[in-house]
Amino acid sequence: MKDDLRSYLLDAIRRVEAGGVKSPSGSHIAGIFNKAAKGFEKEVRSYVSRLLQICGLDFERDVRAAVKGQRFAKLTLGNCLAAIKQASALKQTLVTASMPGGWKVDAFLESLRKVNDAWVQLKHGDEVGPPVLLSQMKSMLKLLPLISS
Amino acid sequence: MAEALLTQLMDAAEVQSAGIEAAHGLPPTKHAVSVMNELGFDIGAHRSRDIGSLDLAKFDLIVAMAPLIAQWLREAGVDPGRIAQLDVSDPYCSGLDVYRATAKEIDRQLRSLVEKRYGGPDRK
Repeated sequence: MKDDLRSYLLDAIRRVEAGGVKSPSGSHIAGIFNKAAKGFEKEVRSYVSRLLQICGLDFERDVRAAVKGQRFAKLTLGNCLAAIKQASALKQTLVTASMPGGWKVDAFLESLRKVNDAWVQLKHGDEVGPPVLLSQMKSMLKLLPLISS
Repeated sequence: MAEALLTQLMDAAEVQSAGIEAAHGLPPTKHAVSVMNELGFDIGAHRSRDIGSLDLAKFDLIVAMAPLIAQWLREAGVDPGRIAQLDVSDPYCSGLDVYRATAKEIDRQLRSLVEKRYGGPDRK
């Protein structure tokens, strides 16, 4: 899954950056972004599962209320952000120490938030400019190896 | 937009729209919903589909909205005789007036296609 998503993102970014008549149009890029974000969301959900384990936290007991009662299997990217924040609030030292690639918690969450914000806008029927979508696809590509097992 | 417009022209046909890389579930843009509302269509409940989720063999005709999509379909092995190629610019991020012009252009090109292929609209 991770490798498929990475390949997909690499290919999509290459095609979008190529420009010209063979380059995907704006709404096509939105579709590509949506497809990538769905795969990315699954990877982040798996990362949350591992993070909770590392921190000795129980999803039902410690986190579920912070994600508006959502079941783990249904966690959205936005819910995952809330779950990581909750884990950080409860086990700050462990979460800081386990940040992928030595990232600071706030910077890591901010990167995830920007991907999520673009996606939420698309899901609400708002238009997100291709440069923003491209930038957030690059962000997913950068974050992917860090959050994958 | 095209799905609604073609459905109006071809009442007896089953019309479905799909994107060549569209993950399921995105709504139409607010501008698309707004412009189609002006034309008397409610497309607010529509959600995007990926073409991979459709059995293309069961469709008599596949209307590609742009040359790039027609090329993609040919490369995917779709019989060129079943592909109708339109040439509609993507209005994404171009404002409401461009969406209005695009809807008008889609309607014009679809009417021309239906006229040529089926001898005119098929309304109940």
